[in-house]
Amino acid sequence: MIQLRGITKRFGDYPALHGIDLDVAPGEFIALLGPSGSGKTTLLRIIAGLEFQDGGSVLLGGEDVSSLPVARRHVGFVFQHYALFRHMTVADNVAFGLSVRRGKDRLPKVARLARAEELLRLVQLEGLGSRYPGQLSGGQRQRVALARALAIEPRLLLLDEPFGALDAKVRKDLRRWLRDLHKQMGLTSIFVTHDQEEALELADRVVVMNQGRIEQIGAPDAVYMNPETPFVSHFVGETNRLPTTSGEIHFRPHEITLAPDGAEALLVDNVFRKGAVWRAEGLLAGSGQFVELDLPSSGEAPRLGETIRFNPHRARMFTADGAQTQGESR
Amino acid sequence: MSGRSPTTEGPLARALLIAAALGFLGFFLLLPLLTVFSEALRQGAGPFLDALHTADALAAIRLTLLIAAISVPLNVAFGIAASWAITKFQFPGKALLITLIDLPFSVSPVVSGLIFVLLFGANGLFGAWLAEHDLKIIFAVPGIVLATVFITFPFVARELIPLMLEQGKDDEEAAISLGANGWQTFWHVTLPNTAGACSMVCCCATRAPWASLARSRSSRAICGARPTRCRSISRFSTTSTISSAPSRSPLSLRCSRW
Repeated sequence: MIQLRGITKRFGDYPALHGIDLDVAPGEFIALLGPSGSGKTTLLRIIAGLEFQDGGSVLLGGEDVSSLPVARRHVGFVFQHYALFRHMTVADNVAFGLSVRRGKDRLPKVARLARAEELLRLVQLEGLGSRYPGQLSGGQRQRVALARALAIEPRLLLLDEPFGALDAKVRKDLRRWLRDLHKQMGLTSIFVTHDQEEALELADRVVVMNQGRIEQIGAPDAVYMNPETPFVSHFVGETNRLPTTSGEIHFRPHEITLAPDGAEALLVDNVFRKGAVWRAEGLLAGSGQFVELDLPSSGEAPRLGETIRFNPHRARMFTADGAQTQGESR
Repeated sequence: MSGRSPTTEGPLARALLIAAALGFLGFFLLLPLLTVFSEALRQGAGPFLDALHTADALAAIRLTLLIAAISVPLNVAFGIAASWAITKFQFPGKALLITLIDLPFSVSPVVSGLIFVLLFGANGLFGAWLAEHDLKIIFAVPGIVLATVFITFPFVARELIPLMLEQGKDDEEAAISLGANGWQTFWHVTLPNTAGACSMVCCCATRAPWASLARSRSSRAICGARPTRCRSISRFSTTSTISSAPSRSPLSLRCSRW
């Protein structure tokens, strides 16, 4: 159980976080999603104790750890660039957290290495314990980093852009693997990402952040389907915006119905296949607004210069101050 | 298909560039080096080896080894501490510290020698106090150690700071998040990460006392009866300023003529 209460942080004159409140239930998998500079990594580092907040408090399992240094918080932290100790073997890396223990908690070397081997099996790298990090691929390194973080039996796992340095294919595999591992272990986990697809695929709940504030917290489906602010609407998923006198109407490219007498007319100036659909782009007749539409690929591809008439069948209305006036319209 | 890569120059340009580099090296590095050895061995290997066995030469070599044995560990310790502080922590006055570390490189060796004379010399700041307590710093081993430490201090920090900056703080943060304390982090993570650079730096820092050995006229022993050539390849430096004095130590005996 994690409780964040009014966390604020400044870097010099730059306000990084303005009063963050967040509760995470045991076993939850949470994504902190936002563009760079949104404060998501700072928040993660504050939870870990790698950074201290200027105001507010961090409670782990009901205990106020606000002033505890990272070494005494028992949290596992996984870095974007792995941060493996390059002069140590994989097994020594994994066992590092155990070998720096002093006093009665200290395990004998045989037990430490046995534990490391067990963890390497968990991350499907058994038998690679005697290699050095430099001899592993990016995906393998990140799994070693994860095993190393799990070795200290953390009460919480924090991952900072864990897939950021990997290529697309490996990223996808590792993502699925991490989701399964989380299901299997049930360890409360928070990861930071700027990739909405990653957040929607992995997380139980997504925390969308922007400019040091939380914009919305919700299940992936809720965040995607019912964005509460214009920012969430255009950051999570693709969104078309239609300016009106009182604000903006937002709708997704697929949230349309084609109709010969539709209220909107798109003059197509680019068409390409986007997976299972045709994507047509162009400007709206009248307002001149740029719009993207998804059309069923069972039909013929739209032609350049063609006019497509449609009605948004599901849209959200935001007033100029960002408030949502209608959940759904039309 | 071999063919030359689109980013390399033609064979003529390559040959010219390599020739220019080798020519420069040969003229400014190899030629003087060869001259030194040919002059030293002019009368054969026998007199050369004999010259090495003279009391003067042995004393100079002993002194140099002693200076290196004292100044290198000191500099490695200070240098690692300084680069660790600079690269892994934020504190006020960091820019000033970086400038100060570079100072010995930018100050002329003669001036830095003078600084120590002004501090510890007979009329220096601490001169009277030192004389009272019968302590000798200048024109004695402690002075040479001080001067060597001063001029070699930047070697270690300069080598380590860019390396540590490039490595970033991730490894250290990973270590402390796994429960390591500051000392364990430094000993098991930071130090091994910089081990390669450290050993190179030790060589650099050891080189300096040897260079001063050559400068402070002990090369006279090697060069035999050709002090003029000796003079032309050596120059005044911190160490020679501070060790040249009309006293009767074997080193300063040679230095006194300057």
